[in-house]
Amino acid sequence: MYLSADKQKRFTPITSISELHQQLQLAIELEFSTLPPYLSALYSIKENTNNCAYQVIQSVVMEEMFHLTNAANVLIATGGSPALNNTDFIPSFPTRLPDGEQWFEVSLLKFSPEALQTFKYIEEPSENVPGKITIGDFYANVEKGLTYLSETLPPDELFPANTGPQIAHKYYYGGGGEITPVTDLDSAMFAINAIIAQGEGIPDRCWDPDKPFPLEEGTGIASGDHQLFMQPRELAHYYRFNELACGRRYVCGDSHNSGPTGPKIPIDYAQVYNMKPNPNSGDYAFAPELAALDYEFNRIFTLLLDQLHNAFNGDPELLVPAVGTMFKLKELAQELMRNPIPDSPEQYNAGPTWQYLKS
Amino acid sequence: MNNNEHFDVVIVGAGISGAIMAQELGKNGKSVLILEAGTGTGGRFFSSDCDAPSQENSQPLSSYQTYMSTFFTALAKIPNAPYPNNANAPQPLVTDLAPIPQGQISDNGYFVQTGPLPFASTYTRAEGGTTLHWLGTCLRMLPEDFELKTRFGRGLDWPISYDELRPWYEIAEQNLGVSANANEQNYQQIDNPAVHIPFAASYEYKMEKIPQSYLDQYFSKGLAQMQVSFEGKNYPIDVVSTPQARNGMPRGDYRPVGAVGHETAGQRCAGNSNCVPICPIQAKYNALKTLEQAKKTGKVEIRTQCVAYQLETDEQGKNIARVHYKKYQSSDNPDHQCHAVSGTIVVLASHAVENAKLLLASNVANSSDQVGRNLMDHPTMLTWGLMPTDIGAFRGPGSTSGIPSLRGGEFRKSRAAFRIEIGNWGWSWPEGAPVGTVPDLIDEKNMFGEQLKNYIASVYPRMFRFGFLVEQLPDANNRVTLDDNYRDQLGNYRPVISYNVTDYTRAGMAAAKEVSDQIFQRLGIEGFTEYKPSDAGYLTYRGEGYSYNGAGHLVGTHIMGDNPNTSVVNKYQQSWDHPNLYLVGCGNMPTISTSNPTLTMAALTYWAAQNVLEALNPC
Amino acid sequence: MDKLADFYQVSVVLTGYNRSRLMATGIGEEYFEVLTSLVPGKIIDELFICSRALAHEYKGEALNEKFREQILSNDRLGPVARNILKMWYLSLWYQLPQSWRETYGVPSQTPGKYQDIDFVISENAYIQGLVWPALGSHPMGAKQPGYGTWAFKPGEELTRINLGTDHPVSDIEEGNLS
Repeated sequence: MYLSADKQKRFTPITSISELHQQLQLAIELEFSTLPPYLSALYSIKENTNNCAYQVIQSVVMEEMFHLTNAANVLIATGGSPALNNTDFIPSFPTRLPDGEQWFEVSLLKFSPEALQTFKYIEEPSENVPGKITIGDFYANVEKGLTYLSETLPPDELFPANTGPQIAHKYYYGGGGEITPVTDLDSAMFAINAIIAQGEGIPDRCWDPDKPFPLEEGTGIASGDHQLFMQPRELAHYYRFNELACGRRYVCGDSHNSGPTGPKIPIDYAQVYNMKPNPNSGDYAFAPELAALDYEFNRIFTLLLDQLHNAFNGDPELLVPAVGTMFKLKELAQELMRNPIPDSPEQYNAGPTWQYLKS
Repeated sequence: MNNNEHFDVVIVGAGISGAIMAQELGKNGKSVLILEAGTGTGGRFFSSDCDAPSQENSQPLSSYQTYMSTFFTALAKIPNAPYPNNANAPQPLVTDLAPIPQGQISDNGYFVQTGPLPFASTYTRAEGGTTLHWLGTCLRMLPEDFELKTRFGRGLDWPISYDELRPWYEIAEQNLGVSANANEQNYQQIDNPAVHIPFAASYEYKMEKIPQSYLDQYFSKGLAQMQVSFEGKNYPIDVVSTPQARNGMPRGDYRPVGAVGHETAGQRCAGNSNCVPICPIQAKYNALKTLEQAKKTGKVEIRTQCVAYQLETDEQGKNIARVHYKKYQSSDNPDHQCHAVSGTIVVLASHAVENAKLLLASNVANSSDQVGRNLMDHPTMLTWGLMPTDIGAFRGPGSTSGIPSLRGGEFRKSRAAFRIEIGNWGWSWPEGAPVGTVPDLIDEKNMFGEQLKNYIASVYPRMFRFGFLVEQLPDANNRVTLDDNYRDQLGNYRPVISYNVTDYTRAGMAAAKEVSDQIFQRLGIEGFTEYKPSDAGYLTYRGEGYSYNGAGHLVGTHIMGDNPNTSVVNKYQQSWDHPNLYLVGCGNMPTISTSNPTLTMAALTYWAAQNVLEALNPC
Repeated sequence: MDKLADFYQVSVVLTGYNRSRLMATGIGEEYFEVLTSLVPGKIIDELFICSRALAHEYKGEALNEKFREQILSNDRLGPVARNILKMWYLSLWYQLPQSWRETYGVPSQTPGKYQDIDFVISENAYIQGLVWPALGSHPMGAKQPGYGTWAFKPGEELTRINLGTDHPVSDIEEGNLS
């Protein structure tokens, strides 16, 4: 990906394998740190309501997991070891993203216009914020480093033989993308490009905000075929969130500047559990039953991180139970969100606190 | 209305066999019309809450999610619970079943049952057919199953052999998306050569076998080396993973097919434990998937709410000239219009009972007098009990393993063979647990609070049941007939069914119960099996009572053979009487043996599709 | 709101689940609505007052005993309490017993949102039925536990799958989990 000279200055160039590993570990932390905000909003949506929004956020979550896996595979392929099983792996919210995007703050919020605004910041296209760095810029720097190292190191040093097993395609399903094994520079670049493309879109040197998106005519949107609302489309995350924020679909002919001009997306912010922003364990100090629920959530969350950590470190079969652990996490999150916090002046409901429990 | 519409092929029925036929013909450029009697979901998965401004029709369109909602709120979660009860295309329900008093007729459901025993199986009349609620079991038949008459002096031989069908099995397994390991399913590991199934040396299923349940593993360990004795000969009891049309871990570059209208869903079974009556994510194959592929060929049109009621022959009585059907607008209302279409070839794929009904109503294809006869099922006997320990009941697909080692052997000269299915859903089938049984704990056992919670936690996870799928032989008196006094609200015939279970099959049930008793003894299972004279399927054999249930495996009614005087279709599945009429579905099968019939039927249908293609493109 | 609190109080004793776990179903208010539209207010008030008084005075097993004595074995309150319990566990409203209906039932039943017949309360109610967590699984057709989870020992939380080492029941075969 192209990284402007101005933006390049904001990153330290990657000049050694250990620096590469550091940045890829950061990438994993970065991808994972988007999950609590996305999932908090997703699970706050009441049952059988806001179906379109639910599908959209869920599709983004699936792709974030895909990104996480791609970053981990590149790290494994270059001889590194992803580390997910520690308290520092997950930030405490509100937080800045770990890649150095200092210009906005990420909070855990119920599904709301404020949450969508945060999500758009997270997925902001680089060109749209010339003076600021984005996730895409961060990955562009990783790609630059990979290219540099491939030019300066022998191939079997950058991509050594006998690394631990990567995550194979068969473990990943349900949307998001196709996991491809990383064995050399091309496949590594391919894996990282997929991350950038899905997130904020692959930019080019001639960014034209008035250029229509490659949406096809016959998509059925114009005819109001409401099933189409549920069809996955290759719009970058930023634009998918912008559709929800605007409450309208992009249709053929729409561009970055035009915004979505298609049919309305029905969104009902009232059909959302009123989760307290950035819930923390102190909120349940006087509600032992909620504290117990939250502890159970964190215990399962810790189990998930342990399973993912071990899956990325030699035991990929653990992704099978890890999927089940994620489903369990959803149930527990929703159980918390359906519970009002006793005596809350704002009448907030509880929410999960996303903490790795030290063993 | 235009009654001169012509298609290369007119197919009656949008279930699995109709879908396979349509897809195979459509992809080879043939124009195809499918007439489906029931309603459909038009490829929609979601009941969207999205309010498109240009939406003209405010009536919400039915979708797969509509089926889910109906299922959730249905009081009786029977196999047909999610699917519309449509008086214009009525379907049998297990809740219609009752014992038939001697000399009487039971007509409280769709079937008119003249007995002496009730026919217990049901099917679904809607787009997608009964695969909407099938379990997904995809067993091949044994080589000896094709030669029962020659080998055991029982039943009938097929006009084809296992070897002839084998390549079609492979195609069916690939297209349905079956998860299994070939080196287990060939049963070479079983110390009973009668059940060995030769697989092509290089053949492998497209997906790895579905993980066996914890219960299966418990049985595997507990029954290791166990043998039972029949007629002085020992047979092994082997627990083997069951091949299933259910998405598992793909091999190589295979990509599992997700839900129709929501393709990212259902790429892997998620353990919803609801294959029957409805998989919420379509991880289990259903015919909607094949219909969708058929539609994508651009050559296939599906007309739902179109009930075929008559096949008209040409003046010579040789070919089927036209298919007459009734098109209705709403399932609540019998108003309809009559139409007719013609096809160079006509294929009946509307299910064993419905195919027979249409042939009999049209008085065609029946020079053999075999149409409607030889109706078979797997009378399914259940045994159930409590395991000594928590085996995690009510988890996973309905069944992930079985005991196939008794499917074949010399004993078939004297009694029916059976396959044992290990059920993962506790006592849900025999007792309706938990929703059907917990009221008793509250009302009669007077439990509440912690006591109730703890009781459920200590007992229900130990529940398990076996299902014994016992074979039934073709019998001319087990049959579907028509009676002018019994019609549905569109004026179409209701099936009149006479049915009995012979001593050959009853002896198989008795042998099955003995095997069950030995297994219960061996593992210390607390038995709760009870067969009551009030059970619809209650029967006796040598003074002992047994009960059977329907397996949903409706087989026979237009069997294939190599003699036009004793069979309805030839080995090409073409009517002996009408060269442009092909019959497909389980109705073609001359015997049922011990495998769930869908895979065999699908294999036969892929073969039939090729025969139809060749008939349309003569060299 | 007070009556809803009373409803939860009586439900906690009846179900054996704590209040947060009941609220976590998100379905309590719907059950409360069904109850109040099918059972005369006087009887509900009596049930709530009685239950509150017992809970104030007794705890643990003593409370259960008194609950049986004063409520479950009472011909007026018992059937109502059992119906509340069945709603929570089974997601169904069961028609009240004939004798109860004759003596205490609402005399003229106008067709309303709910009728005193057997019915599944709602889609969400089915999904939130407490019998499923009680038996250690999930409602059939919802809250999917994930691929392959049925192969694991009930309640087991794996952080290592080492092919080849002893599985509690049998060795996990190659291809079983991978």
